[in-house]
Amino acid sequence: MSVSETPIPPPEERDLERMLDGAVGAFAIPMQGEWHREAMAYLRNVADAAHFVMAFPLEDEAEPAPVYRP
Amino acid sequence: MTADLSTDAASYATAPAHEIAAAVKAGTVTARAVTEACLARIAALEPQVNAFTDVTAARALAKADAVDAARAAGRELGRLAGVPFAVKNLFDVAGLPTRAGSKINRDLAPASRDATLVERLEAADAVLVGALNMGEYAYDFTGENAHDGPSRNPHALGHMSGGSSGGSGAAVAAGEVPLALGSDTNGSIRVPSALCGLFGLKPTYGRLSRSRTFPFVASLDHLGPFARSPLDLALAYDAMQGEDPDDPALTARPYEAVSPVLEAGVDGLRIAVAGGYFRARGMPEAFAAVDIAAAALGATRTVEIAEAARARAAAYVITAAEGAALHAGRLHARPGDFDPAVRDRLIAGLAIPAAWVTAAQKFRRVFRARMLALFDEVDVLLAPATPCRAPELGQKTFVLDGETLLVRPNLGLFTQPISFVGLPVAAVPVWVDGGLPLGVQVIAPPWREDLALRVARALEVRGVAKAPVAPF
Repeated sequence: MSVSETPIPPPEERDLERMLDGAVGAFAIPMQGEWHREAMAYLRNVADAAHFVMAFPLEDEAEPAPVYRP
Repeated sequence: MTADLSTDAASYATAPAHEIAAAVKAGTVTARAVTEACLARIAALEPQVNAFTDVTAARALAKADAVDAARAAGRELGRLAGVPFAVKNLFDVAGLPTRAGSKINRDLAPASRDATLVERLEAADAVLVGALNMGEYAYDFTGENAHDGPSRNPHALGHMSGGSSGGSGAAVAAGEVPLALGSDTNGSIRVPSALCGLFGLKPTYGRLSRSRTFPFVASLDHLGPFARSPLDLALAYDAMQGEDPDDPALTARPYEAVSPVLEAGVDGLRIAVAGGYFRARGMPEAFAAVDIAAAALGATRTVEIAEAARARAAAYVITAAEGAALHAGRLHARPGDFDPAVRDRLIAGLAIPAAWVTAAQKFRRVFRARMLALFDEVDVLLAPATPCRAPELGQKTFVLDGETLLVRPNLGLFTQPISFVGLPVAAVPVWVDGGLPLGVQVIAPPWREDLALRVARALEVRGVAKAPVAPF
């Protein structure tokens, strides 16, 4: 099976929880309870957007545009 | 609404920039009289509008006196002689901490030098009168601010001004200044222009210097002007172009004046309406505004902008990641001092994997190529600026195509795909059936601000677009 035929599935909630908890730890954010719930909702939105973007078949040679020239 | 503005000088306070500059150059009025009238109007209206966070009165009067002295000495005055202007408070203004809508940045040392664009407008003899309210750290489409209160829509004070350059939109629509500067990462010039009924210009990415302004998303940040006429936008844009080694993203492209070609009209231009993504998830009046503009221009063609939804998604990912990276230190040290709605999004952004951001940046080049191919077929595209009129202050959701969506992120759903690839856009105010204003994006190929502004001017001449001072 080729790489393009095995797309990455969207991250599940528990994966996003781990990602968020890892970031909060790595950046030493003094998190409060209600912040976590809101941040998780936003991270879910970003994950959905990223999954949509990554579903596009980009070439391996495609150049990113960190400093963009229109 | 009441405010005693019935003096002769008040007429200059609410005049467009080009009329003020002509009058000051001709000696019909002094720059000081215009500045004093402007400051009086600001003092009278601010309790209601809340567009300003700082009024630099002493500095403004000193500059106005210098302009008048230059004229008296026989010096030829600049293109914006005596024109009062104000800037979103993410622009450095010497002597003020650059708060960028935040509580945290108020603890910064005062800026030692003005932002490049402030220097350039003053070099053209414009007069800075203050700094303007904005959404915290520019992560906003509403114009609301947890620390300074909302900038209010002058056409309906209980409604949003739009964001994040909400003070810029409110100040110009209220007639407090004829010209303001703002920033646009995902729509923050075009959204408040639409909701406040103004002309706005988001130039091509890299066209105007961003040096000495507080950033948000380096990959997507633009700066530009708000005004009540396309000519004023053109005069300001022409005054602000030029090289600046302090901004590494700035183009080396030569200066290209747009003011001389503003009246060139639209004959021969291939103008099309953006279909598909840009005709869904909006109120009927948002699409009616586009249709009115298209009819006035004789534009009958509709074109599909393929992958616009994915472009918006990619902009969303880049924004979340770069914004979070910018604020990581502040999130660690002072998380309780953020606007909660901004803080929680930034914390989420810290968790974004690099693979998501890189894919989004790679897709940016794909979408760019598709847009450039589309511009082989058309010269200008028309699209809504917002999906609706100004929501009420505090409104959290709206219903678009039967789907309940959050207001804050979705006011920019039509602007995000365009700024994602840095295209120049003139936001044009259109008034439909007597309600609050709506905006139409006039989208041009890279570096063709002239085309966007020519179309905006044509719509103004044909009576379709107008930006009246709100009645007070």
